[in-house]
Amino acid sequence: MSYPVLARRDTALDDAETTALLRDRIGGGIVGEVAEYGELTVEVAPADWHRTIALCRDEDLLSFDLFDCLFGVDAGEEGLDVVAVLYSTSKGRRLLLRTRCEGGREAPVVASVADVYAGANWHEREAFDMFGIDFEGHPGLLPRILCIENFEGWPLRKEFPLASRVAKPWPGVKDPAEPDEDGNVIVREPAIGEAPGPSGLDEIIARQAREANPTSTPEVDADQGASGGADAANAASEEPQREEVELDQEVYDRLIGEGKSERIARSKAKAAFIKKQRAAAKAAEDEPAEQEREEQEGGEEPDVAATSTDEAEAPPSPDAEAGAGTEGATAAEAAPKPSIPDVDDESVAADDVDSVDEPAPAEASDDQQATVDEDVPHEPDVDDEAAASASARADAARADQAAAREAKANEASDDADDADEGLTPVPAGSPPPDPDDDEVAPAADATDGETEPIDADSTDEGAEPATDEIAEAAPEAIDEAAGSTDDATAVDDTDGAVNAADATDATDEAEDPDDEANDAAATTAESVEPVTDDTDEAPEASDEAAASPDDATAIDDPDGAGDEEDAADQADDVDDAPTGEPVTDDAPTAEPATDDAETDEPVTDGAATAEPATDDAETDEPVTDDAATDVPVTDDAATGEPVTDDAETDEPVTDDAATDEGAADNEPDDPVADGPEVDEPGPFGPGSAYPREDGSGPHGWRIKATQDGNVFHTEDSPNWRTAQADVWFDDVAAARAAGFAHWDPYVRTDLEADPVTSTTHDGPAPVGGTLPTDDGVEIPGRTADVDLHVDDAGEDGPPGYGALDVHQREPAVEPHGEGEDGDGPYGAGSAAPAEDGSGPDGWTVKGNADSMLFHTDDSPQFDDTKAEVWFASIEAARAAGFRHWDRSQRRDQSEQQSEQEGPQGE
Amino acid sequence: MSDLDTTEHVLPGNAPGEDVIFELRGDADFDTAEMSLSIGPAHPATHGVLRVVLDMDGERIRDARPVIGYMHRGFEKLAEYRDYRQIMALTNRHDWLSGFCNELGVALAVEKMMEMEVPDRAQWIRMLLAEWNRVLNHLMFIGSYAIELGAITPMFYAFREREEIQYLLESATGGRLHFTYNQPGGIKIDLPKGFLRQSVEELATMRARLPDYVDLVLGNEIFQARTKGIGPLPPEVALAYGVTGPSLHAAGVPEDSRVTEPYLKYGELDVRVPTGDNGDSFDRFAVLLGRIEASLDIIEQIHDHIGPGPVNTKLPKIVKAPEGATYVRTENPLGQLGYFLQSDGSKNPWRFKMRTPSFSNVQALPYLLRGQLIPDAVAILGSVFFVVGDVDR
Repeated sequence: MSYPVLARRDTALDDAETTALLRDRIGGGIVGEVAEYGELTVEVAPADWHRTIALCRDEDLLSFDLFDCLFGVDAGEEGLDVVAVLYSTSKGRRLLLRTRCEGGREAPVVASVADVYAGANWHEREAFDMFGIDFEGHPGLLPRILCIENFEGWPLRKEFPLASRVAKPWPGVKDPAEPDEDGNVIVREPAIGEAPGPSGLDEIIARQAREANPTSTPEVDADQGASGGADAANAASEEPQREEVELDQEVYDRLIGEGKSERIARSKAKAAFIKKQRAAAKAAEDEPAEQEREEQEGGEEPDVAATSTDEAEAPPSPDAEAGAGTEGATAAEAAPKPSIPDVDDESVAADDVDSVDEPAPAEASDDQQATVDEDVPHEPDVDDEAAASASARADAARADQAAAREAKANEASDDADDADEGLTPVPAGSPPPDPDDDEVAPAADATDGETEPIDADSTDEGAEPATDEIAEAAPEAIDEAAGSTDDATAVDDTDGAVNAADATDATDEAEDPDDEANDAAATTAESVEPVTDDTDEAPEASDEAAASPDDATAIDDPDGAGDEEDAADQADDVDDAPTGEPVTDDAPTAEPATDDAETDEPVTDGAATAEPATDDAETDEPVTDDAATDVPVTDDAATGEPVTDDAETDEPVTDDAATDEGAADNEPDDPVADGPEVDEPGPFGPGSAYPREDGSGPHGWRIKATQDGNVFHTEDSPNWRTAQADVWFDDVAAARAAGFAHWDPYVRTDLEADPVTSTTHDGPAPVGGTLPTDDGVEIPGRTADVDLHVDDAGEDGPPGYGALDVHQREPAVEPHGEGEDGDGPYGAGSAAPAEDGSGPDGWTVKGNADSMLFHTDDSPQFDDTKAEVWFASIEAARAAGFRHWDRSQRRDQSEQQSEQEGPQGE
Repeated sequence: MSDLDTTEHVLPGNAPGEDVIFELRGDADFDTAEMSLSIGPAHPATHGVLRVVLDMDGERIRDARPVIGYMHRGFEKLAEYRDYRQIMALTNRHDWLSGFCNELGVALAVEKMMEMEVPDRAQWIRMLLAEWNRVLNHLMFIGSYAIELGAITPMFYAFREREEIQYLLESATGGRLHFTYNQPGGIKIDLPKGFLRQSVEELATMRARLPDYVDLVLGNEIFQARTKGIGPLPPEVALAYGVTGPSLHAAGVPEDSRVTEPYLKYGELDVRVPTGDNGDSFDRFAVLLGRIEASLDIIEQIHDHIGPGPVNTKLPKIVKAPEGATYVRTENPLGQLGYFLQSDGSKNPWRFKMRTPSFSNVQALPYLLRGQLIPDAVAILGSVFFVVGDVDR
């Protein structure tokens, strides 16, 4: 047997000749042939299967000597096919032979060709294993070649379900097997643990799936939340949302009507159903209290909370659908509200609180306490200053609202005064604890007094009582307050500027407001949602007070340092007033004194509030503006996002809860910090601006920047749509100037500023730049410092080399100002390197323009680094925007920055 | 022991090294007990969980039954539930030593059915990475085969090289084993800046180091004694079993789809297919080294051809192959990889058959092992190059 080096294609038969030959030899056994996509498939009658294959091997004109493979194909209702692939090494031809097994799907059988080609043995065993095709004359199809011995069923047949997919649906948002417009679907119902597979194995898988996804009832969740503290709560919140629950048909129909996918609608409807159940349970528990409230409140307006939730829900929270358990949970909470028109506001609120609380474990309370201690001293002054600045801006920003607010504010202030008077009389029920305790002990303490020791519960309780008080005392005021809180958060998220007006109002009127504010803040802080409730019920009264409190707290927090006076005041108040519980007590007790009660509590709250505020303070910076900002927003806030925002802003607990939802993105910190900087040139220099309330930027500005990642997104970024802009920029240059990095790591370095040397490349956007690593380690494979000799080939060299490295460019040293006079390419204290790469005498800091790192002489990479710029000192390098090579040293820098920004904010 | 006939007969032979092979001749007074010996499923010589049941008669192997399926992961079923882009991530896993070549086959199949025009640069880049992947794969077997025969050092050499090449591939694809760099219509992104330069440098390094392996392993007397004349595989048997790749080349059949059915731009290159004469373990190993050298030659040619241009084509949101069926064969490091793709016009394949080289290669094991001595079984097992994941899919 001799084998030519190359196959002799010239001696091979073409498709027509091949089939003609086969027809000639086999006759009617050749059913048909298909030549598509360059492959010839000859269809053979099963009776002539063996004969045909033997012929293909033995016929000299064909001489298919290489047995490539043989396998089954599911032909649907028509049965099962067997395909054999043969190849001729001498002719360089391939032939596919295909036959349809006799016996249909029940008992498919075809002749074995293992005696023709030895290699067919295993392939036929595999076809039997996968499809159950019996090969007549095969030496032994058993044991199953790939599956385990006792496996039941034929896995590759279409009726055999993919067990894992049955037990657990595709985890992503989109399932490639989901129905498309062609109606091509693998239908599957994602019900858990109902794998209808034909074998015992499937049942085992299904059982495991059920065990892995236990159906959790709402009661269970509540218990966990109550008793389990942080871990339990977290665990509960993380549980996948896959229980078999009935659907809330209303919600389901509505969502379907809105064009949502069935999947989304189903999940939301389930969530709504759970929510209803919880609400009902809660309502049953609280009946007495409700009755009281009903008496007090008379006719209730439609739930603000409910509406707000609706709106909040309206944006089809994509995250929730994404399938993450936590997100799903939040979505569920958000969704249910609309469906509960009947349930009392309180109960709803309570539910919300619960949900919020669960995530927020003991930690929250701890934080609160800790923060409270720190914060209390800080709070005071802020209000005045904040009020001043805030008022200025506020006036400018929204004179209208301001006017409107003032009216209310006056009323509120009156109320506040009343409240002040009332201050001394501590609520009846509450045993006044020591002032210290009050300060330290936040909502948690209050809660303790009432009933359940657990943090989550405490929040709930605290929330409700607060609500009561508010309801009694200042109906509308509460609304505003609630709104304000919301606003505050909202403002934080978006612009500092907008909401200045209200803040001003509050602040102006308000020394009293501060107290009230504290109260309100306290309420807010303690119970995030209660605020919402307040809003719902809200008559008229305490608007400003409530609003202002938030502001106050917010302000306090941020200013931390500056506002000692107010803090002192509050502290005094705190001393006088009992801690958290009193609030609760007040609510029930003193209806007439409502204002007082508020005031009193406020003090207490102040303490409590302080905590939440503290949180903000920790996170953010100059809250003051925010506070101001908040008020105006009130209305908006009330409607839309309130709960979530509040939660985030006010209490750490809330934050946890909130995190799940999309709102989580708005981290209070950044926005708050931003607020003060809103000055003319833009927060980050010319060409930058904070987003508006709705997150949009100035007209025509298309560049979003996020402070989290310190990255800016141009419109061609895949994340541009979803990115929540902390800052908008006019153009790329402005964003770069502000220190943000391009979203595309390949374009991190400014190619326009440092144009590429070669431009022969007319293909897609050049891939260039280095990938700087944060830790300053330069990856040798990356090309920044690699010798450039290959590129020199240029156009004369081999065709490809130059093209590949088209992106090579000169070191990114700015052309201008190679100053010895101290005004170098990167400002004072920088200098471009000399010809040999050395820097000015005595300068020991090298800057790498690609990675934007600078290396001091104790850096391990110092010697290897080619300085693209030299710096006289570390400070100069930092001032130029370079980062320290040592990660641990960078923190100092950021701290310094924050210190610098702090005073600027004021 | 006293009954043992210790007479050793030197076999006559003309092949070098054959004269050191001894044959123990058992006679009536040499009692042998028939026994069944199970190698694996976790024997180091099997590169995964393959089990070979040997029916022994003394030291002599009467029959061998490979038992496979321990790593069966149902890729063909899974592929029916995934779209064509996701299948890439499946296929670079069945043979984890040649991930790029695997996904290349899928891309070619989908492109063939969708009649896509793939930009030249993408094709060159695919070839470049496929050849580097081939070198990577062969280095692994060179190192491990030596270790199975008792030589530890070559493994360190091989992994030194592997590390550099993997680093090279990682810089382009981001992956070390599972590259997922192909997509229908091209490749995911262009090569990083400086990749070609690195490739050129690595090529020189590899060329300089290749003689080390020849000296260290191939020329080693013990190695030759262990492998020469062991497990010869005649070409007609190899073809009937569907054995391809180095094992088939060692039998003297230069069937290499890069030459006989050139895909991508292989038709424009000079692809050399090293072959052996005897088809024994030694030849198979020698062919492996020769293939590395040939791949380096191809890489050098690719360096001269690759030019600027786009690297992928715009894909529809949902990639759908039209109705029909096709079969695409590529030359993988271990042999010929065939993908049979039947589509019903939807975004999931109706049937996705993976014809993997290892499956057919392992199938020839009984033929090779029959009649051999047990110490040679390891030398044979290691020289029929396969990856168990590629066998079981």
